[in-house]
Amino acid sequence: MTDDDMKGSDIERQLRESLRRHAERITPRERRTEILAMVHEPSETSEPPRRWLIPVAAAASVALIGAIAWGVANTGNQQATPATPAATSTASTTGTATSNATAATTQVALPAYFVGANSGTGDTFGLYREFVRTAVPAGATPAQKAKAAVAVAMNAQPFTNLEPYVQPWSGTKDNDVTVTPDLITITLSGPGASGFTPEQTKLAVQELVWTAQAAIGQGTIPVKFVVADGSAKLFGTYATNKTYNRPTKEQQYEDLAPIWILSPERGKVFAAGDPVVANGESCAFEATTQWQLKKGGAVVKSGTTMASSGCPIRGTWQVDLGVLNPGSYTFWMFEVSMKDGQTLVAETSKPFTVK
Amino acid sequence: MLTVAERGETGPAIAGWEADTALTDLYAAHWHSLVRLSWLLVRDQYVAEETVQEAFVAMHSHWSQLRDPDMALAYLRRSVVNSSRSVLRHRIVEDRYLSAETRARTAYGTTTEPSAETLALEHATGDRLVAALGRLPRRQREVLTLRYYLDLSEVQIADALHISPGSVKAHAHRGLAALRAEVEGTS
Repeated sequence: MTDDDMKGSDIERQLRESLRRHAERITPRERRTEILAMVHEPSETSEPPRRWLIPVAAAASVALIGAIAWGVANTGNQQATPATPAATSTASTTGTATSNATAATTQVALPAYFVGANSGTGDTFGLYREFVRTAVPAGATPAQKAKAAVAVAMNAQPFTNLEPYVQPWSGTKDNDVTVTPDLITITLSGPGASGFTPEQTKLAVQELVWTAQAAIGQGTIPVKFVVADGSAKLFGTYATNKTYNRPTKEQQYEDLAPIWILSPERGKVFAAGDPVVANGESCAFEATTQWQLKKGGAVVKSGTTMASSGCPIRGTWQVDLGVLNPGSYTFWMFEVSMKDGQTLVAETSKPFTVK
Repeated sequence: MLTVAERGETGPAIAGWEADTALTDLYAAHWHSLVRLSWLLVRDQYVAEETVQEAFVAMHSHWSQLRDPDMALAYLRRSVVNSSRSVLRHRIVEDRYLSAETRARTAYGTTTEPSAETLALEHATGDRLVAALGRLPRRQREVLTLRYYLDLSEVQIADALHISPGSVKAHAHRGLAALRAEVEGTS
């Protein structure tokens, strides 16, 4: 080996080590939730965002929203997986979800929206989103994914011990979902359960709209409902001869719960020594929400955070919790009423563990 | 510590992936290294995370054409390098890069300021190479970063940069020669 080779070899070794050590100066934050949200949400613009043109100070707002619930996948809401081997599917992208093929299934994470209380008082409600792993036919069409996602959204039972979700679709099934470029049609077995408030039933309709559009991922295609028993109205109120859609961005507060925690995901386990960062989305007065980190019922940290925008525009927020001692924690975020400074107008929490 | 190559290029071989599964598995295996690769190129943690996030989203939407972990990872690398390059063209980020060079810390501020002892140690162990790398022509910088951070082969680097393997070799040779000259000149 010549001197030059030896020097080159030294340089290479040093460069490799320097780059490795240098790169480890940063700890990339978790973005799996945001990425899954982006790939499942209908895009609101035809152009992909050029984020480096956005001032960094405001750039946190690009993070899309969602609450991920991998742990829920095993709580009993999965569809049965046929044991039959793969067969060809005849469904197309714009076709029906009710293919006659007995296809093999695969597990995918689908976004599903649920109607839940905005706070412990239970006097106002909003939509929360979960990503739920469920079975769909291998190579599922958007319509098939939408049918599976709508079925998940209509069954809040697996979450009832975890979240303040109600079950307005109890006893109802989604028989079919069809998709054309202009219309999503959801065929339901019935008009919905009775005994729910107008706010809850309005959100129950909207949860299926949000869920179907998200699963299909082709934008805000209007949604029409067909009730198999011939009912002309859902919940006796919402006509089946009209279409439904998501509200505009400025009015999404009418549908979505005021606070979502994206991270920590429910039940997530952090390795001891890893910094914990909470993030999510809110629509709060002056963009301000408060938070507490609880361990065994005791508040170990607390603070106030500002989202990237205040209501009516939904903003994103982030709280750096730092490195935590091993243990079980609950991250609780809430907004108090501006009227009395005490009443909770919105709250939500997520448990996680450090070990 | 195992290198990326030693850990296996794509992690466990998985047949019959669906887009969500592929995304989840590739994220688990490569999110950190790709963000750090982008950060080495643009020196802005937020931008690096955004760049890689968009690459994953694009990979998911192109899954029907990829359907293979090797192809998907190659696609991610190409996306990250191309997007990082586009980002770097933006003056604000370039300014931040130069600033970051002198401060030797992330613009996002998630790392702590190194102590004097740490700086001395880094200098003694060759961290100055990274600063010298940042002063190389863009292509040489990209080739050397892919070669010595991700341990990619010439063929893989050529694919990521859309250049020929011969050009990879040439850029690597010139880049290393420049680094060697700089180190010898300052030692």
